[in-house]
This record gives sequence, C-alpha cells and structure tokens, in this order.
Amino acid sequence: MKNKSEKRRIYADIRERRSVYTLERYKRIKAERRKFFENTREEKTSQYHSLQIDMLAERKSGVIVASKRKLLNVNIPKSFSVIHNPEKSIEILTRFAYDIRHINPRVVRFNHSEMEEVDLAAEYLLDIVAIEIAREQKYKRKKIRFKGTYPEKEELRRYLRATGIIKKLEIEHEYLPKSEETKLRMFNERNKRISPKLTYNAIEYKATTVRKFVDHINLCLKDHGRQLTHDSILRLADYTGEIIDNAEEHSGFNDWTIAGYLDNNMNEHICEICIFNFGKTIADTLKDIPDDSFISKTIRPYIDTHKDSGLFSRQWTEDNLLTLVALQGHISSKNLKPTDDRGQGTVEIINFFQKVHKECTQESAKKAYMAVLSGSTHIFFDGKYKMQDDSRKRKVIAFNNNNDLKIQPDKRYVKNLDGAFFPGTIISIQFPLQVSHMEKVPLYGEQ
Amino acid sequence: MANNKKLSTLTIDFSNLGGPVYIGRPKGKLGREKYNLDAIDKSDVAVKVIIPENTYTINSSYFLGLFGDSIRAAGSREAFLKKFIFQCPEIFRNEIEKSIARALFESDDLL
Repeated sequence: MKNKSEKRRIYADIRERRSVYTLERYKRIKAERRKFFENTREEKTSQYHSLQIDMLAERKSGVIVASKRKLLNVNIPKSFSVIHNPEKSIEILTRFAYDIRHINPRVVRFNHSEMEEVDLAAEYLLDIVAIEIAREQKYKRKKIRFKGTYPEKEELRRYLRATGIIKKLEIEHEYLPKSEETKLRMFNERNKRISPKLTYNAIEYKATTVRKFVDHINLCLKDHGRQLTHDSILRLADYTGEIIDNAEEHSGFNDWTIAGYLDNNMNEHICEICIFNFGKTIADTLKDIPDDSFISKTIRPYIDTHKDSGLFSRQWTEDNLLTLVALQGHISSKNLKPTDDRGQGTVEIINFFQKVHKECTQESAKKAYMAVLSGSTHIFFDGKYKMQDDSRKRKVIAFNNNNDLKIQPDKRYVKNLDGAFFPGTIISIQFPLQVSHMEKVPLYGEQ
Repeated sequence: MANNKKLSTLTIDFSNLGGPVYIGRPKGKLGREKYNLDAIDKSDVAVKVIIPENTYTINSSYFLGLFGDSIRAAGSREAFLKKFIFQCPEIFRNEIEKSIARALFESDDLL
C-alpha cells in the first residue's frame, strides 16, 4: 500500500511527463504549421505565366475599354475562319490576349451569336487563349468565369459544345448528349512537353500522335462502311508527320497542336484538319540564318529582284516573300550546303493538297481549301495555282500565271495581313472526303 | 580463279526502329549511327532493309536521315539499290524512289 508521499511523488511525475509531452506536441504542431505555410508561400510564388498570351498580345495596341466589373466581351465575327477571314479572326485573338493582359478580367463573355462560319484553327486558338488565362488564374487562386452566347446554326452549336470552348473549359452542364456526341469524330492533341532523350528505337509522342490521327480519320470513315486505302494512309501520315516535324524543328518554342473534326450528321462529310504552333514565324527562321550561309545566298537574289523592281509595299513585304520562298522545294534554313536535302516538308503538304483537291472536285460541289498563315503572311490554296517542276526539276509554286518567283504573286492568294500578326504558323485544311480515297469495308451481314 | 568469299549482309528491320510511324530526321540519323552505316558504305557489306506491312509511313525526312548519306556515297540510284535491298510493300517503292531522287538532287542558285 503506497503511502501519501509516494502517491504525491507518482502524481508529480505524471504531471511532469504530461507537461513535457504537451510541450513537445506543441512544438511539433508548430513546426508542421510553419512548414505548411512556407510551402504555401512557395506555391504562390511559382505561378504559371502564359507566354502564348504574351506573344499574341505583344504586337497589339489600342484603347482599353474599362469595365467596373472587369468584364471582357469577345465578339466573334460572322466568319471566324483562318482560311477565309484571316485578318479579322487573328485580330480577335490578339485583341483577346491584349485585353486579358490589360484588363485582368474576372468574367469573359464569348458572343458567338453572329457566327455563321468557323474553322477548326480559329476556334482552337480561341480556346487555347481561354485555357491559358484560366490556368494562370488557377495558380493565383483567383476565379475567372466564362459565359457565352451560342450561334444560331445547329451544326455550329454542336461544334462548340463538342469540341469548342465548352469542351475545353469543361463546362459539363453544356455538354452534348451522348447520343449526339457518338455521331461526331474529334481528335485533339497538344504538345507542350519537353521531349525526352531520343533513341533510335523510341516511339516518340509525335509519331504516336500521327498514328492516332490517321486512325481517327479511318474511324470516321468506318462509320459509313469505308476506310482509307493503304496509299491514303501513307500520304496522310506522311503529310501530318512533316508538318509536326517542321513545327518542332523550326519554331524554337515547344507548343504545337493538331486537331481533326468530322460531323457525320451532315450530308457532306467535310474533314477539317488544323495544325499550328507558337514560336518563330517562317520568315523569322529564314531571317535568322547568317547572310553568308548557303541558303541566304540562294534566296538573296530573289529578295533583291523584288526590291530593285520596287515591288515591295504595304501589301507585299519582304516577310511575305520569304514565307512564299520557304514553300519551294529544297528551301530550308537547315540547308548548309548545296547537297543538303532538307526543305521537303512543305512540298509534301502542297502535293497532298493538290491530290486531294483533284479527287474532290471530280465528285463534289464542295471545294477543298487550305491556308498557311505565318506572322502577317496568308497563303491561300484552292487549286487554282499548282506546284510544278521548273527547268531544273525543282518544285515551284509562285501563285502567278507564269509560275515565276521573280514576279509578284496574285494578291488574292498571297497577302499581307495588315494589322494582324500571328506569332507562329497555322496550317488549316478543309476538304470533302470522297469515295475514291476509300475502299469499301463489308458491313456486318453484307455479302 | 573464282572468288568464293561470301559477302556478309546486314539486316535492318524497321520493326526494331520504333514504328509504325517513322518521322523526323534526327531519329533517322540515330538509326544510321546504330547500324554504323558510314562504315557500311565504305565496305562490301550488303544491306537488307525490311519494312513491315503494318508501317503507316516513312517520311522523307526520316528516310534521308537514315539513308541520305548512303545514297550520296553510292553516287547513283542503281548503285544504292544494288547495295541496299529493300523488302517492303509495293506501296513504299515509289516513296523510296522519290527520296533517292531528292538525296541526289544538287541545289544551286534559285534564280
């Protein structure tokens, strides 16, 4: 039986241990809290800043319309298309980016009510700007709300809800019903990642993307008992691969996107493809190479001819000419000597388009269109001007009746976008899919 | 006296090169280093190139990265195809011919 003094001693010992425990627990909790807030401060400082928005906003200027509620209205024009209305479409994008940087909006409202025509490139670029600003705000732990007005036409509403701004911003309550979505075929890959070290047997992301893209197109056709011929697979994969290759090698900036869209609900199956990248323009890559380099010496006489003839003006600039020259066979900023064989990517693109257009116009009232837009240069293809061999078997397309690069091209086909500039390169294509591209696959039960 | 020495053959099977889509000159060049084609070009070794049926595409940039220097080392289409025997679907023959032509093309002044 313990006496009173022993009990007192035990209790004192317990109290001491409790107080030590409590003190240590307190110190531990305090240290954890300190660490938590330090980490939170680190998170706040490592914010995301969109270089893409900066690039788009850089060359824009204008009056900022102040709004108390920090509301930014983006009014989409009737024709929102890189192919058919490039000036206005690029102007909308750059204006959007510029206003983001100066207004720092809390609410962005997209007004598509007047839109009657759209192409994949224009809509995707708009979506990318919206995604970038949303990401910036998320890192700052600030909210930004997006609102919008749909266009009148049903197919355009479907377009926006399936693959446009609605999908990109994950506005789930506006998604298409599954029954409608199953009739659409969409493809979208955006690469912003730094490529891992390349090995001879690696399956690169861009190669996987090309394969998936071709499979996507084939899937579209299988819905209707058709598929691409082996030859068409080869061409489509080749063409797509070359464009992505060009984007990676020449742009100096790691952000390319490839997208495809086909609406099987429509009577005419118009296949849309767009590939674009941010970074250097085509003219920039040629201007950056030294004056004493082989390729500079190759193209310099051409520049001088136009300059001496007084052809350059506000509607026809040196950058426009450089972009056009870059399309020609064997022209590449990577050609260091005469025997270098680079400069084939654009040839492949144009050849493919010419083949597609030739087949399309035989059977369809709908034409095929393509546009290459880089910086302020817009080059439009509708089959009127064709790439042809010159006397030295070099592939040339000069966009004039003589197919002569010394003569100024047709300004309806190669033009300077006055006041509009895209920091990168966009290739946008629309073409009807024809039976001759395809072989018939027996449907289930068919003899 | 007949030369009975059997020539050795190197086999390049594209299924070992990370397909079925072959794009990009840098990757072609890595394949060239892997098979040491610079040395092969100077030797009597024949090269058998197998392109599988399920290949989607071999774009010209990749092909020229892999074989461009060999084509120029051979000096002509015939000499190249005598040394490099292609076993491939017929559809790729035309692409191979085009790439050979490009490799042998000498760029000079544009004007």
